[in-house]
Amino acid sequence: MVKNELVVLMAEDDDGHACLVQQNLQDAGIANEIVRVRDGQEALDYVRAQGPFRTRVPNGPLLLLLDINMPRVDGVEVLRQLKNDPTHAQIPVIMLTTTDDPREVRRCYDLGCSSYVTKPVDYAKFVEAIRRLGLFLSIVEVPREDAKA
Amino acid sequence: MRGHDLNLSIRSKGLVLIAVVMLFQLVFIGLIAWMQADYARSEQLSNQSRQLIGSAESILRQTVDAQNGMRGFIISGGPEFIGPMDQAVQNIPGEIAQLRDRVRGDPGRNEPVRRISDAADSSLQWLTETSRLARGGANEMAAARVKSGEGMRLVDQLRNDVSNFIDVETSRHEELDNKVKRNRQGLNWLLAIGGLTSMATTGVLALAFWRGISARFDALTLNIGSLQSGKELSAPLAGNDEIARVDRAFRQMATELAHTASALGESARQTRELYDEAPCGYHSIDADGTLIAMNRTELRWLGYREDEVIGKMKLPDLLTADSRNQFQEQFSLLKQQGQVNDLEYDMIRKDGSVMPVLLNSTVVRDAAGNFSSSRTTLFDRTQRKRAEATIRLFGDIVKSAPIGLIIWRLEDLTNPRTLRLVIANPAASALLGVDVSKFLGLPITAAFPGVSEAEVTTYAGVVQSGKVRELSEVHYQDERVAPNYWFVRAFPLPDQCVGVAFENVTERKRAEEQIRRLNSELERRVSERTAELADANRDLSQKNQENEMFVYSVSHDLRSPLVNLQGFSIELEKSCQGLAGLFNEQSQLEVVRDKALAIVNGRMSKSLGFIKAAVLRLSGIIDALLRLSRAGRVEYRWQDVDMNRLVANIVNAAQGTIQEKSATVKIGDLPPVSGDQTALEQVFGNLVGNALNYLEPGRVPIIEIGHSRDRPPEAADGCEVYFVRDNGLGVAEAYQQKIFQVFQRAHPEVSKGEGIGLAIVARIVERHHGRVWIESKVGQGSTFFVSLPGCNNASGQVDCGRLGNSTTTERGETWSRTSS
Repeated sequence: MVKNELVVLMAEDDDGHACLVQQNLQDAGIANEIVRVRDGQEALDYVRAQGPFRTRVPNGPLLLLLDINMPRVDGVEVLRQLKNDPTHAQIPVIMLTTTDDPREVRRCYDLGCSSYVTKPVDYAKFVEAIRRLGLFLSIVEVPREDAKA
Repeated sequence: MRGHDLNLSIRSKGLVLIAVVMLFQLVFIGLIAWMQADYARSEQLSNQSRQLIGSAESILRQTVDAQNGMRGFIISGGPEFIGPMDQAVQNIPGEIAQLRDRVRGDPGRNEPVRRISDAADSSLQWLTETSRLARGGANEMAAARVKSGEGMRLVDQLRNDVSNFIDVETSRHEELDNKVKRNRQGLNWLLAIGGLTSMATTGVLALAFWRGISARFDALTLNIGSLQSGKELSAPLAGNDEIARVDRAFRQMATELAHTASALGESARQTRELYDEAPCGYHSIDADGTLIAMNRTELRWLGYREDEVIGKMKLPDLLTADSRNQFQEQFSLLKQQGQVNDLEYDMIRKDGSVMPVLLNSTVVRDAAGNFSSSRTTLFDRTQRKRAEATIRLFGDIVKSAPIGLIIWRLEDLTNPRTLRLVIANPAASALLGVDVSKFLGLPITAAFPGVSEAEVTTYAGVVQSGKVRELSEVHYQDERVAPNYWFVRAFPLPDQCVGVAFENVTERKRAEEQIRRLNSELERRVSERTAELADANRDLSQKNQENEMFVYSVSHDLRSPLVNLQGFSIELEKSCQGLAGLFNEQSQLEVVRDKALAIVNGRMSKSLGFIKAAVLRLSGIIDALLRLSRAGRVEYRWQDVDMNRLVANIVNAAQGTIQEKSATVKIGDLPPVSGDQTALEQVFGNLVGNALNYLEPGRVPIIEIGHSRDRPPEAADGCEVYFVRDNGLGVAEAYQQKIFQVFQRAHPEVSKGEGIGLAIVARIVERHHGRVWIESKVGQGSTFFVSLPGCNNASGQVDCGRLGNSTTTERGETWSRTSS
């Protein structure tokens, strides 16, 4: 059901959140490889195969799960940079964040994010959100990274 | 000659008459002249015949004389005979030539004359030869010739010829004489006939004249006579000559005269009326002062009837004693001078009251130049006297008014420096501290050396333009005049004059300056204080903003660990359940299993329960804080908000709760406001929610939402005040201020909540430059008032929260920050 070659890049500075997201995605049946980075800069490095990730060979479809409030480079900035870069503009980006400020939501959509998911404190809701995210991942059409390299 | 039938003018008629007479006379004179000429010619011819006869006889006679002389000489030889012969020989050729001359051009006489002259020549030739012979001594030969009778024959021949000629001429002469005689007779006849004809013509002409002109003149004269005596006129004269025209002109004149006469009657009536009803009095008096005429106006003035005055009263009878004395003197003056003007008399009316009049009079004299009567006009001086009194009054006022007044005259309209002082009132001297009356006639710069050029130009300008000018603060000072400020008003007067009225405004100016100084001091203080307030406001606003930012980020930062707490406690719970499942399996030791189950199901799950509850509580608080901070930060979309629809939506959304609690909701008519739709929904949603929440037990809830017409006095124009009223629990007075603060709850026992709702309401209303306040009594209910800017006011222009006791207003909704 889910394309196995799709890699999910999760940028999340909070270990707990990362763990919870990972666990719940797995519980929701998402078996794809999940790469976790701790801030926006790392996320950009990964995508651009630079810095610590310079050895990485972009060879398959990629999807980003971005927290907003992160050290160094925040999620919104990552989104902005990627969408301004024609090489990576096609990569789907899902914002995953604790804020539910409608203006923040609108801003991210304006910048070109594919989806926006809030992290509710209520765990049941959180699980539901991650489940829907999994559902989204299963149907989203993700272009291959190397297809247009 | 019928002139009027020929339609000729008199001139033409006269000319015709003269022409006829002259023509007649011309013919007559011509006839006479012709006859006279004929007579003269005849007479001339007769004379010519007589002369010719004389000439011929003379030639014959001399020839005979010469013949006879010859004979005598030859016979006697006496020289006395030779003389006449020589004479004859000498004369004859001349006479012949003369005769020939006379008949030259007269063919009828040429022939006889030629014969006469030939005969005379032949005879003369014979004589000459004979005489030569005789003188040469050949007497015999000469005598022989004489004896031959040749000489005699020649003379006879001549005689014969002459005699024939004379006969012819005599008969011609007689014939002419007869003709002359006939002519004379004819002339006489002619003269006689001419005289008679002339007389006859004159008679005819006289008749024609009488009929054509004289008779018509008579008719005309008759008509004019009729016109004069006003009798009926005869028929108009026929024809188109001058007389007929004169007749017509007279008739037209007569018609016009008739019109004029009637107009004259009207005119006389009007004149009489003018006399009687003129707006002045008229009267006439005779030499002893008796009134002989008085118009109705004057009679009305005096209150008399005409028959009471005319011929019965004398003018002095109508005068006061003073005026009567004046009159006696001035009446004789009038008689001497022929006129008097502008005499002021006081007349006495019939009712005894006095009437001042102005009197002008002229004299009418008889043929001998003696006073016959007066013609007098009178004018009512009452008004003028009143006006004079008023003028005197004004003069007095000007003299004693506390305002200085100086009148200047601009001698030369083009030169402001020719302003000369005409007059000044005493106040002018008093105010200036100098005797201004000493400056009369002086130029302005001489009288007041300290006067400014501009001021002089201004006064001259008033004269030139005729417009009033005011100078509010003129400073003046010179050696004699102390420095002062003056308010000056310059106004135009007749005769190139300008009035300058002035008032000392030094004190006033000083006071005004004091006030101005105090005012500016006050303004300075106010602006300082305002600036301080603005600073404080800005500080406050900044602090508010910082607070909200702080709350926002703290809330966010708190939320992250909460997600972990909640998530992992759930995970723990799951793990516990897993453990419990494991322990339930029979594979474990019973003791261990029981104890483990007791721990897992007892203390562990209880602890997890507390953790979860605490996390939820904390999460609630954080959410509330985020909402509150968002209420302060979210950008507003200002628009006109239909409050009726907004409140209706809110009530509809709460319908479930309303029915559940059996509440009655009344909504009044709500005018629109200017604001942010979403924020205002939050405000009224919150207030209605509160009203539905805090109910007095056992009382049917009634909720009223309305518009208050009684604006609180502190609210500015253009503000609308709404209220939400309930009959619920009410709020104790001590709590009424606190409830708008965050986390403050009046009735925590009644419902759940974070105590944030009214804080958000207050924040939103504050951002609308409005104000929210509560009136409440415990156990009776609460009324929440919200004042908001009305529709006609753009955001921020009206402050509806002034002097409010809720929170300070904040201006300039521009900042916005985001963070996750």
